[in-house]
Amino acid sequence: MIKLENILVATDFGQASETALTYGRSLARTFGSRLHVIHVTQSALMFSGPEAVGVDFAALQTKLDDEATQHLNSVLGDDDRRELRALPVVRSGTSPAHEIVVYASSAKVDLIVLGTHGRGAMAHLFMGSVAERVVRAAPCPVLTVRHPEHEFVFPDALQVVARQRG
Amino acid sequence: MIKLNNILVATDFSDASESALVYGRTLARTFNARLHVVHVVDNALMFAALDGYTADIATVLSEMADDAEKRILTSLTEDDWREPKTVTDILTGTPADEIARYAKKANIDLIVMGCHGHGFISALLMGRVAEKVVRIAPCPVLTVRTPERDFVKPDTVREAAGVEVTSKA
Repeated sequence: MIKLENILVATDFGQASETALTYGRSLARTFGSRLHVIHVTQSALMFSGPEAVGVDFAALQTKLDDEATQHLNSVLGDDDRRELRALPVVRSGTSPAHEIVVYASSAKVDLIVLGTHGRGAMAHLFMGSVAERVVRAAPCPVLTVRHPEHEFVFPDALQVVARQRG
Repeated sequence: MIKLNNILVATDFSDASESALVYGRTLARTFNARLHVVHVVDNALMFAALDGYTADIATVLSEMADDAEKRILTSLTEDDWREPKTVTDILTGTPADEIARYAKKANIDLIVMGCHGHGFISALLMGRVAEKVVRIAPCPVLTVRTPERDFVKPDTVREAAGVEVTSKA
């Protein structure tokens, strides 16, 4: 049998992430799992540069993290907290995939659910990379969902794009 | 709520695929979904292997398909034949493309696949299939690796360089 005590949904607050949250909730309810919802904020140090002299990075980071926490709390409902023991998690870093994988490992997560952007072949090339990196590096099974569901991206379209790039 | 009426397990008979079958089967029972188990005979590898030989490609392909069919049937349990009965199929072509095509044709709601280890060869040949399916699939994809909880740092450079990244348990 499979073990699903802890399910982690990684969200960037986009539409695909909403779909991911729907799947995460549904699976957590079915298997009686605890729901963890993580958002990774950009490290404030990524904004550093010559024009950022005098910027208080610590304060900026706190602001970014507070906003993310508020956003996460607004996404999670009372049902999530009561029935799924939902746990909002905010981490910051330069690589979302890395933070997601590290959290999954430390929190003994049994399944990661995350959205992948399904808006045409070009979008895949740029935006799908977080999901792909998580798939490659995750310590546990990974469920990738897209929005809208059942949108079929024809493989040939990807090959055309690959040719244009190459 | 989410809809899970048809679940597809794409197998290449590896350990990771066995794990995928366990996950697919459990989810199918839980959601009362029909389980589909398919294997794709990779014809690109076939042609490469047969280059310069006069063997009858069609014969070899059909032998491989027969062999795969037997292996799928032995991997199934008695329970898999309860209603809704498990469907099996052998496809020929480029694995990721065929898996995505089958998923669309059979109205699959979830694809479950094994994602291979981190050795150089397996990452190159096999891991790429799962990654491509994640990119092109018309539905959600669950990737499962074995052994579970084998923690790997997301350091793709070391991975690609074939450096063994093992967790000292």
